Amino acid sequence: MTDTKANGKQAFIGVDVGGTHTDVSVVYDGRVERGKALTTYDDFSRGVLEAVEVAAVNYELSMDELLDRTKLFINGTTVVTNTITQLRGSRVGVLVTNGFRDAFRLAGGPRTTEIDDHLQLNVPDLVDRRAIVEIDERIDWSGTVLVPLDLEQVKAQARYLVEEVGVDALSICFLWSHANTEHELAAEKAIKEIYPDIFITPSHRVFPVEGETRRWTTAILNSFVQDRAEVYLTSLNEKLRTAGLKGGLAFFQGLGGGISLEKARQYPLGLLGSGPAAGAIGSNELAKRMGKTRVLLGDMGGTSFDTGIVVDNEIHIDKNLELGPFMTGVNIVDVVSVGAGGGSIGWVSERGVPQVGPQSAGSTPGPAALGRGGEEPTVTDAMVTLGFIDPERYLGGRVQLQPELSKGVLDDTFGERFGWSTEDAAASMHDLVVVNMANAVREVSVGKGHDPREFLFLAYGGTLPLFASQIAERLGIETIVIPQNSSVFCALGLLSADYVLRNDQGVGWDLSKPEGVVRVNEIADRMVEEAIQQMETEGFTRDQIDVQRTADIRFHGQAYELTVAMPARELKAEDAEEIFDNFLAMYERTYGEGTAWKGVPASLINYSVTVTGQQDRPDFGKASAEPASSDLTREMRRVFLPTERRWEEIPVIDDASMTVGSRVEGPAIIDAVDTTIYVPPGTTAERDEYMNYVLTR
Amino acid sequence: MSTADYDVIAAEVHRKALQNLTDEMAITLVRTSGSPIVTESKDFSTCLMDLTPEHLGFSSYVLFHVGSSLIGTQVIAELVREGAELNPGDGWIVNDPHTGGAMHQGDVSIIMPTFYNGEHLGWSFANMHVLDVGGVGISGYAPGAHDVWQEGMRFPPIKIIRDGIIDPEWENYIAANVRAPGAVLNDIRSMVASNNTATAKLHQIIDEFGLEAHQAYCEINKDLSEQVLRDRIGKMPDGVYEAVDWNEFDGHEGPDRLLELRCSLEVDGTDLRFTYSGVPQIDAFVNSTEGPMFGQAMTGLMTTLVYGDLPVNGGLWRPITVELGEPGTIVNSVPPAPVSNAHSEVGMRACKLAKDVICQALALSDDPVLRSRLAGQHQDGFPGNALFGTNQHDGISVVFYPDNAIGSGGGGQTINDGQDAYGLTCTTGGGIPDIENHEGADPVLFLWRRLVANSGGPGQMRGGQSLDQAYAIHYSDSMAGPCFNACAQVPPHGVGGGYPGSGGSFHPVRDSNVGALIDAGVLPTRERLEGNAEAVRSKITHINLGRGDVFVATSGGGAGLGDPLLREPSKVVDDIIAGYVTEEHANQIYGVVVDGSQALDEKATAARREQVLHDRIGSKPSKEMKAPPLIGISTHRSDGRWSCASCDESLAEADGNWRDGAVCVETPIAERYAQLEMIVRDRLEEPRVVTREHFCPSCAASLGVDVTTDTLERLPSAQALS
Repeated sequence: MTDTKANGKQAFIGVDVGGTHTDVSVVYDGRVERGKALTTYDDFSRGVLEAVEVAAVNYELSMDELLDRTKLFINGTTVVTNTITQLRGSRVGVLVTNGFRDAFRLAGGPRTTEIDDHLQLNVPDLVDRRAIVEIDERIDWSGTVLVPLDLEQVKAQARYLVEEVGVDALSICFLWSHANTEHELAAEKAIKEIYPDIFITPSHRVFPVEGETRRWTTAILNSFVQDRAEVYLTSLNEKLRTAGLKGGLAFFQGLGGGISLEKARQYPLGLLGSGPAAGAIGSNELAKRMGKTRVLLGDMGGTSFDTGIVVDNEIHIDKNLELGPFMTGVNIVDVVSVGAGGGSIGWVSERGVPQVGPQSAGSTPGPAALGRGGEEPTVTDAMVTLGFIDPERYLGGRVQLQPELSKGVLDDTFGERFGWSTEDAAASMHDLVVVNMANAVREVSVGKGHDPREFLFLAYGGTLPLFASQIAERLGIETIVIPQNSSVFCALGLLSADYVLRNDQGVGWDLSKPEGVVRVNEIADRMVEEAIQQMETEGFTRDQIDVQRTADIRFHGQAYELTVAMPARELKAEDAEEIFDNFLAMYERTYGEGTAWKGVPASLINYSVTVTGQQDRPDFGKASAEPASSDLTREMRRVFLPTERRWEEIPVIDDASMTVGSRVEGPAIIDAVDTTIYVPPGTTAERDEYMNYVLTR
Repeated sequence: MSTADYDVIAAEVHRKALQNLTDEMAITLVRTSGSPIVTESKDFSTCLMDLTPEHLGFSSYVLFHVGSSLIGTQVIAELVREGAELNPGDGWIVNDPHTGGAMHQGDVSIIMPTFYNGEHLGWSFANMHVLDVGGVGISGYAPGAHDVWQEGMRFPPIKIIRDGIIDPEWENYIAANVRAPGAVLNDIRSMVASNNTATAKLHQIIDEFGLEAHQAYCEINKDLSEQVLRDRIGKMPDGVYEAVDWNEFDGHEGPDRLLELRCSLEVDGTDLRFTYSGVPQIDAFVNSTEGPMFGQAMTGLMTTLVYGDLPVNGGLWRPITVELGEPGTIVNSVPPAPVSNAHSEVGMRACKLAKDVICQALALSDDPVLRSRLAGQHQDGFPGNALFGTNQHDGISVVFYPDNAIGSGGGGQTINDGQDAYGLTCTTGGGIPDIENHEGADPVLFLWRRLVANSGGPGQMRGGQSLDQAYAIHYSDSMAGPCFNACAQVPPHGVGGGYPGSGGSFHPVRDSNVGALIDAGVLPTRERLEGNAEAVRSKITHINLGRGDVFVATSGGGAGLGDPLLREPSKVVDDIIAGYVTEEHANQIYGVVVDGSQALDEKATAARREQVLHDRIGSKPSKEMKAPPLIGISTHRSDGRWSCASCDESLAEADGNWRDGAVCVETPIAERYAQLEMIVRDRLEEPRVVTREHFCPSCAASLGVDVTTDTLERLPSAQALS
């Protein structure tokens, strides 16, 4: 199907270590093959190798042979995410400016927007309170040292933390350290003299930006995840090398790009949230190949639905990730997650209203149809009942479903109470889960000021293609794209990743004082130079390196900034006026005409440099049109159409028989391995030259 | 109503659509305003109402705006019924607590009608705390005003918007009357934009569902919420529950007044009737009116009773009436009463009173879920100050407002300790601005920001801790502005034998040594700070701080839940290690003793706890004190009597006051708090504030700790419905 000249006999492997499954996508010999294994929590590398082996078999190669031919192995992992959500990380010690040790408990304000007082909890301690020590030193807003650092105190306190409290890693959190790094660096150096091997995160190194809560929390989290990340990184590297990998090994970051093993060791926090980010990167790459610029993307798994937005082929980056109660400075691909998946449970609320999710039956007991003791109806049970999921072909036929169990739990939960038939109950669950997903897509689009009707909906994952049309209809979206290999799309997305490094630096340039430009230039030059140097040490040549500069600007007295592009050159004093004007224009574009603050000066708060090293990537190519057989229908199946609320015999079409240009009019079902696509009445599905299904109304 | 009569799924989908609508109104407000009061402090609210008017959806930011939106819209609906012209694109501005249901003048509402194909369907509402409304105060806070006319612009509902545009003449008027005209007009425009979003989205929803179904589903969803709340109320025993509290006012050069107010709750089947009463209104900004009273009563109710599957809409208010008695009191004031802190003075006491009487009823419920909802009181008051002057960046004029409200502690809950820095009951979603944000813009140097040891009220579930911050005026010669502290002398009381939290306070330290220490290369810390610590009143019209002066603002904590002797010693030790309680405090109130390395001394703790029990009742207890079956429930009322929940000792007849059978230890609160190393402001004038600790005469369990005045005979106990 593909043009294989470019990377003919070199393999690219993407591995996504997820909560339940470890997914592998391999591009080799002009085709994509998949591998899947259960995630192995005691040693993640075992599951990774098992999944690679499954894929290798599809090429009739041994794992050693496949790894030997691999040019690049890219890995996304949940290790860092899990370390934080489970609060099981390193024992961290903190040195903080005297007077401010409680910042970690306050965490910027713990109160949520929930009304219920039982949902107002204290912020969990990432750090033992005994392991927070206060240090005499003070730097002010301008970076001026008001009170010099007491190095003897630093050493004494470091000894206390290591010898008496027994910490494994340290973070140094001083006020205004982004404006003047001197004290944090001196403290780090002094401690390294005593403990050369201890892992230390000075806060300015991970987030040199104004606002101590985010900078300090980021520094603590980086030390907190260090130990488990290190074990994972080392083990995977060693096992893969032993197994024969000779090519590159990269780790995927939540920011949407790879980094090397060494970088990952220094900044393990960057590995946070890499799974959903890979899906977004893959979506954007696919959109670019298709010549599309605006995409809403969705991924439905067993427990949750993830959705994100791509505008003008730029993935929306959440610049200051809020991780539960923790406010961080982590830049991450912005993905909203809601509890809507195949395992989401249907129930009746206190008001007597049917609901679906957010609780999930998970894999144990799982949907009732599995016969593992599930007593509550799940979305999967509803779709089995409606006839959309073939009990004989579930998960590629590996599991035999029992539809009568699904019917039983649906009747028990809803039937008698609401006077519903089994299929009414199932269709109701279908409708509710569709609304919940549509609302999440609305949040990422309308919530950011975009009209979803101007986007196409890219739907992937094993389950979503059953619901994608109905979600799109609720949002007025006309075009839906379902990619080939939908169920391992995230792992495939990894293969589209470039190396990315990003640095933000607080600069605080008052634009009404153009002369401040000198300092900004000094900082910008240093940032760009360092970033390029880092990419060069990663093995990229200058012409493979792309540098993007942006700045965050806000009116004096405001809390939130807008990000504007900066020119790739030295700034001049005269630029201040133009930057301010550009900011005003962007402000009114974003917030509406007449909303800019009249007569109020603005400051350029942060300068950011994102540097990308272009990574070799497989050529996915295009497929050419082949004559399709005139009758694509494999069989007719009786299904209950949820939107029409009636039973109908509709054609089921084998994915394999759909060649480029093949068209199907709804209602119909397209059956692929691990994925079932529903084409509702009035909708047409066509296979395009990238082997996607494009659904239009 | 049977669910078989309508499409239950469609009704639920419709409800979610209306919730999205109010959320999108909020998004529009945040995006178009840009004011930090909206973006950071989240001091705003949006909602949609029908013709009645009843709420159809409400975005939960500042909860008490259920009151201002309901009453403000009722007033406008009445104007329309009386013949006021009504067209699409019309909009009313409202900020007057006396005539428009507003919380205080600083909270400005824009209310606009919703139409569909020419038919008037209801109202949309947006409200935010604008930067200024003129008058002697700033940002709407005028502790020095003696009447409402000194407090700034008053808008009873006035139609200043036509075709979605603010009348230019009114723009000129507003611009001429406020300190920050550009920002204030921008705030008003953003509220218009928010209302426009409501109209546009409502059109889409009705297009999808059809007008008839839309209206039917609105009614269904209100009915469903009403039914759930009624079911919950039905599980609270019928009866009359009463509580007393005091508003503090020491401004206007004295006298130092305690203004009594009461709330009586009748639980009658599935109805709740709150009746507030209070002393005559005074010539200061503490007085309240209908909007703040209703809004704050509902805030106390919602945070306690709205949980799980219970969407907020007009159905929730149907079982509830709020009576305010004759006009002319602090709870029902009339002009010329000043009201610019109505929501945060008498209003916050009203919130605590509502929760107090609800908790009394919950404690007697048979339903385990409802009983689990009782909790220690939140602090609900804060040492506020706003300072004006020039900053270090070319002497630009700035407003420095360190938000101490967010630093107030939350009450202990049955499921966990109270939340530290919970804020006020009404301020869901509020955040604490970073020190670097303040220091970057304002001429101050923070010396510390820390949790206050022993600020959380002692209890089996400890109250949430509060925040203490100190800053020096370091880059300016002078800063000035109002200061106001609502909860210094009468702190929030505990529940079920739990103890009150600490009070809030503030004071300047004049002519400090901060500059000298810095010159010497020494960090100014709490221990090293020297200067003239000046005792000041809680309500100050105008404080002046010069270069080198330090201002220390200490918020108060949340109250405890349950007898502190029931707290696991290991948790007390954790608190000592964390610095949340001092060893002396732990010893005095928790009976926990640690050794030199802060490890639990089990033997000494057992002995100390025995001693505490002995001291409580003045003799060795005759029965063993056991943990009551439920956290926070110290007394039972069954079999015709009140009894101790720990040992079942009889305390009083069921129609009597359980306090009659308890050992009562009365101590001036300042004295008791000094023993416990807790903060409270002592009163120098009559009446004194006292703690009354009530213990079981047999097992010495803590049954209830009242915070009251020495002149009040005793607090009332739950009574049967007459």
